[in-house]
Amino acid sequence: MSLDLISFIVLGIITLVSGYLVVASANLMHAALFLGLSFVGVAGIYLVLGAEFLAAAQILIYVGAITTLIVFGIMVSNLQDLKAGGRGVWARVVRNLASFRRGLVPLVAAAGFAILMLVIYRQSLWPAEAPPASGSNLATVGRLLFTEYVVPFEIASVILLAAVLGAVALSRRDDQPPAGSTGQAAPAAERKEGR
Amino acid sequence: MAVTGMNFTLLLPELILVATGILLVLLDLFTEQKRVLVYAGLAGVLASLLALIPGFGTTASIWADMIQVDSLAGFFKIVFLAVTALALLVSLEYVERRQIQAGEFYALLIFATVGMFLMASSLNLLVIYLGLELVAIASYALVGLLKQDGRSVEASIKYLLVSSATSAVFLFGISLVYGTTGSLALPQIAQALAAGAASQPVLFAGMLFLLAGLAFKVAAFPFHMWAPDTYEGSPTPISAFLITGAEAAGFAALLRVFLVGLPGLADAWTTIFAALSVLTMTYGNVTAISQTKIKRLMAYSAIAQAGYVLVGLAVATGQGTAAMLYYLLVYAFMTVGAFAVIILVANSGAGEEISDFRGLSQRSPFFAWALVIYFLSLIGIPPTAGFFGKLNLFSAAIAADMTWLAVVMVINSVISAPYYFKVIRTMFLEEAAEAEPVRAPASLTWATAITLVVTILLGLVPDQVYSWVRLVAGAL
Repeated sequence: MSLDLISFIVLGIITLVSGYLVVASANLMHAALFLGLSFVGVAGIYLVLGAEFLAAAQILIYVGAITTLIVFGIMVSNLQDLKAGGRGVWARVVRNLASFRRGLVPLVAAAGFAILMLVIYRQSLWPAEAPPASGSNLATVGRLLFTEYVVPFEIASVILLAAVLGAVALSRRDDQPPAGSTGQAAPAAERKEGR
Repeated sequence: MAVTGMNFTLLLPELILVATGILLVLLDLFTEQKRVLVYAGLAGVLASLLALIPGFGTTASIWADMIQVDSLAGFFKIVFLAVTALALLVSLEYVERRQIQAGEFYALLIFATVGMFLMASSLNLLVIYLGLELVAIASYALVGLLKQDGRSVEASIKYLLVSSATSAVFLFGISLVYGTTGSLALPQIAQALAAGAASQPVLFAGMLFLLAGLAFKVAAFPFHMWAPDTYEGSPTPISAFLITGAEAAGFAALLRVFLVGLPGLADAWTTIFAALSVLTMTYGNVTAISQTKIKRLMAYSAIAQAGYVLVGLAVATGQGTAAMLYYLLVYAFMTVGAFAVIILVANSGAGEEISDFRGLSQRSPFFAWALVIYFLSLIGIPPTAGFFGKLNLFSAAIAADMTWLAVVMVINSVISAPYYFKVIRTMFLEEAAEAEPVRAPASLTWATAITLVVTILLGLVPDQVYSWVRLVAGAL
C-alpha cells in the first residue's frame, strides 16, 4: 500500500465522517465546524492528487471564508438551536446511528451506492494518463483560465453577480404592510421603497 | 497564447443581455417609475434579437470551442427571447401590485435568460453546467421574491434544495464521463464512444446521472416532486417563465448532450426516455384532474406536456427532434398566454382557485376566449398550433416504429381534456359573484394578443414553420 493510498483513505474517512456529523449534529455551531473539517479533508485529497492550487483555493475560500461566514452568521442570528445539544456530540452520534431514519437508512443507502460505484469502477478501464507534473501547476491553471476557459470563467462571474443580487433581494427587509393578501395594493408611485 | 476563435460578434446576444441585466440594476437606483425597467428590459431583449442576425445560418465554434453558434442555438435563443419579452410584459402590472423589488426582479429574469442561452449554445459540458447553474441561482431568488407569502418562500427553499442536489448529480455524471473519455467537449466524447468506450460500465453510469440531472430540470416523472409546489408558490410570471423557458432550456441541453455527445449509447437511453415519457405524461394528466387551484393545474399540465416532448428524445430521429422543437415553440406561446389570463384574474382581486374564473366570459370575453384557445391548443384540438405539435410528435413516433408510444400519447390527450374543459365550463357556464368587467392593463392585453396570434398562426400555417424547424433539427 503506497503512502498516497493511505493518505487518501485517511482523508476520505475524515471527510465522510465530518460530512455525516454536519447533518447529524443538532448544534448548528458544531455542524458548521464539522463542515470546515470536511472541507479540509477535501483539500487534503486535492493535495494527494497533485492539485496544489486547488487545495490552496479550497482552504482559502471554503475553510477560510465560507466556514467563517457561516459561524458569524450563526453568531449574529439569535438561534435557539445553538444551545441545543450541549456537549454530548458523540453520545448523540451513537443515538443517531441507532435510530432508523437518521442512522440506518442514510448509511445503508450511502454504503449501497458506494459499493455499486466501486463495482462499476472496478469493471472499467481508465485512461492511463499520467497526472501533469506538479510545480508548474499554478502557471498552467492560470494560463488555461484566461485562454481556453475564459468564457466559463466569465460565466462564473455572471453567476456570482446573480447570486449576490438574489441574496440582497431576498434578505432586504421591507417596511411595508404584508402584501400576501393583496388585491387592492397601493399604486406603485405612492409606495415607499423599502430600504 | 491567444484564445482560438475569439469572436465578439457572435457572442453579442449574450453580451447584450448581461449588459442589460446590469443596466437594470443601476437604473433601479435612479428611478421611481419602475415601468421604465420593463421598457429597458424589452429594449435589451430586442437588441439581443437583432444581434442574432449576423450569426444566422452560420455554424461556428467560438471561444476555444466553448460556445457553439448554429441554427439550433439560434432557434432556442429566439424562443427564450420571446418568453423573456412576454414574461416582462406580464410582470409589469404584477410586480407593481405585489410590491416586488422591481430592479432585482427584472435583472434576475434577464440573467436567467443568459443562462438558458448558454445551455442551448454550447457543446461543452462545463458551459452547459454553468448555464444550468445560472438559470437555477437566478430562479431560486425569483421564486422567493414574494417575501410576505409563505408559499413563495417554501417554494424557493424546496427548489433550492432539490435543484442543488440535482446539480450535484449532474456534476457527478460529468465527472464520470470526463474520467472515461478524457474530454468535456461533446463531439470528442462521441468520438471516444465510437472508438469503443461505449461498453464501459462507468460511462453508462455517467449517462444515467446526466439523464437524471436533466430530467429533474424538465420535471419528468420520478424527478418532478419539486415542480408543483415551486410553480404554485412562485410569482405567477415566474411560473410561466420557468415552465416554458427553463424547461425548453432543459430540453435544449438534453438534445445536445444525448444526440451530440452520447449517440453511442442510444440503444439504452431511447428506452429510458420512452419509459420516462409514458410515466411523465400519464402522471401529469391523471394528477391534474383533481386539482382545484389553477396554478397547480398548470404545473401538472406542464409535467404532462414535458412527457409529450420526451417522445421526441425517445425516438431519437431527426424527425423526432424537429417535432420536439416545434412543440416547444408552440408550448412557450400558449402557456405564457394562459398565464397572462391567470395573472389578469388574480390582479382583478380574485384568487387563483379555478372557481375564481366563474363568469369570466361576461367579465372579459376577450380573455375568456383567449384562454379557451390556449387550452384547446394544450389539449391538441385542430386547428390550433398544439394539434400540429402533437401530430408531428405522433408521426415521428410512428415513423420510428414506436406506435405504442403514439397510442399512449393519444390516450393521454383524451385524459387531459376534462381538466381543461372544467376551467372552460367554469368560465362560461357559471355565474360570477360580481359581474363587473375586468380592467385589463395594456401590457396584459398585448401579451395575450401576441401569444394568441402566434398560437393561431402556427396552427393555420404550420408547414412553413415546420420546414424551418426541420432544417434546424437537421443541423444538430
